[in-house]
Amino acid sequence: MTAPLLEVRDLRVRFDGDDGSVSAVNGVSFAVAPGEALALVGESGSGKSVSMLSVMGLLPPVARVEAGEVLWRGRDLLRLSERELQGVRGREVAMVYQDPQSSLNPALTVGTQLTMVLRHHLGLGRRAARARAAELLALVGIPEPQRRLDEYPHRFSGGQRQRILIALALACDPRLLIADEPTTALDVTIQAQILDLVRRLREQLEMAIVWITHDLGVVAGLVDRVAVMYGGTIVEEAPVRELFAAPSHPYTVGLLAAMPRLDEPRSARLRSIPGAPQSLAAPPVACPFAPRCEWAVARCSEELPALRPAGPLARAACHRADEVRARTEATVTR
Amino acid sequence: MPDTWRRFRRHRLALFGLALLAVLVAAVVFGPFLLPYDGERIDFAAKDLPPSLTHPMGTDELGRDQFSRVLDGGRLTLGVAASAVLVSLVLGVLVGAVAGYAGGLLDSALMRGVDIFYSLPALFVVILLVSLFGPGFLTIVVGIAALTWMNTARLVRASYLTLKEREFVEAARALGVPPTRIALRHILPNALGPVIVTATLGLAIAILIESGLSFLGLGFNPPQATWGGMLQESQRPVISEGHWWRGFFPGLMIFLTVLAANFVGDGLRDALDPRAAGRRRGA
Repeated sequence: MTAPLLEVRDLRVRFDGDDGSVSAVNGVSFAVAPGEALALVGESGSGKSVSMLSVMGLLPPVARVEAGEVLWRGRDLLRLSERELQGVRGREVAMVYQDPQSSLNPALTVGTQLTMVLRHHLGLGRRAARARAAELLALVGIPEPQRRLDEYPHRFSGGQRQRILIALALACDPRLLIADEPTTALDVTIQAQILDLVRRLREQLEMAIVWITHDLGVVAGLVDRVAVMYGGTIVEEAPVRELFAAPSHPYTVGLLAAMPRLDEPRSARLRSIPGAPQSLAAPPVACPFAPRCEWAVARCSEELPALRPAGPLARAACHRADEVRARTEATVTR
Repeated sequence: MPDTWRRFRRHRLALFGLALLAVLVAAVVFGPFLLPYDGERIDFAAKDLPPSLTHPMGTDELGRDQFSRVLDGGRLTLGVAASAVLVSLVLGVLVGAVAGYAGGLLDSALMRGVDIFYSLPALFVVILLVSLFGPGFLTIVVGIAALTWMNTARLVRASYLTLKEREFVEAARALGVPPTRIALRHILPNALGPVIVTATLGLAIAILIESGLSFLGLGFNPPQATWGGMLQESQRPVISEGHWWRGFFPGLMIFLTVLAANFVGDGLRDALDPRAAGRRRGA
């Protein structure tokens, strides 16, 4: 593997609240190679967004990074000053948010918002920035870009606004695009269009992507690798095909089983994982998934499993990963 | 902004107010050049005349043409009011934006400053200023601004407090836009709507304060005319000699200006606040 673009090592983040504190991220490590697309999958509160916000240095004030390193091309982003971070954000790492309705400034034209970023990071002149802004709108598939630069966000549809947010993120040719569930607020057909767009842009611009989502199905056709998060840790990490074909962690098995399938009778009820995830007051000392796990044995509630190899290219944090994998490999190759 | 203008245009009273303001401003700016009399020319042969075709607003006890004096005085009155509103606005927006965006200790310190200014007795401050620096244009502008900027500061601070939590601010931060630029370019345009409205209403207040000061003899010195000053000079002639036109016309000008400014402010508030427009439609 080439030198990673982004490498997160043993990241730990706590939230301090009035009623005690919560361990949101408990020793997360992963790496993204140049041009690679990684999906961070997990349910709400699994720590996926918090992990990426710490990469950007955009954690809310109540959050505290307790330990870990976030190496961006060898530099630890956690140690940079706010001013230095401003040079990285938007320029080298850009982020697309979930809600296209509220992530654009309603009082500024789309052109103003685009040129502001271009002029700030690239030092472009007024004309050059405007020309580039129109190019960007065309790139993300907004018709009549020249004219629409002068319009305010409310004149665009939800899907178009998400396209504009992507254009904003891509404005300065970042090497890494972080997408925080950018399709959840959109209906399914628009969702598919946005996914197509990102897939095309990724090939065209050769950038790396970290796609945060709770929906495995959304990312299947888009990313190279998937990291599944639960309780603030990565429980399994594998190339996307391997993960779908032979998951090694019971939680991943459960997630895959919970997806609606076209090749099953429609009357079949959607399966769910029993129980609910708990927020942790302290970093876990045992497997956080054990209380909900059908594979759980005594050891699971005594010892925290480490992330270790579980297949050709997969890693899983489960004491019984080999058994789980053997079972999933044996059942129908889906 | 084109939407704002469209909504504003639907507001009849506001349009009327805007037209009235335009006429008033044009009259005080260009009027004195067009009139045959000089507002300060004394002509004892024509003293104390009631309104007529030659002197539409009558003359005073020195035979000065009241119409010319009203237009002359209007320049100063409107000039003072506009400048005071501008100063008060800049100060208020600056303090409010810094306090709301920075938060913490700076916010507390600035807001206690606002409280102090609120609790100062207005008249006392102005009397102090005037007696220290003499009754000049600058003194009066500063005096009025010092009495009125706090509202704007509180308003802007409140807007900043809510706006800085909005997602587009977070998104701008994620794009590496530095904080000062976020405060100026991203938040300010969103916070300015209510401020513009207070500004138009502030114009009315400034005119009234200036008139009040002149009325108390704390404004500009004679022979310099202002509407408030003329009103004050007219006390005796109106009451003891029945020369109603001495007070009526300057008062009318103040009344019209304040009314027009209020109409415009009302219209702007409806035009700039989409929710108010929605209520209007729904009703």
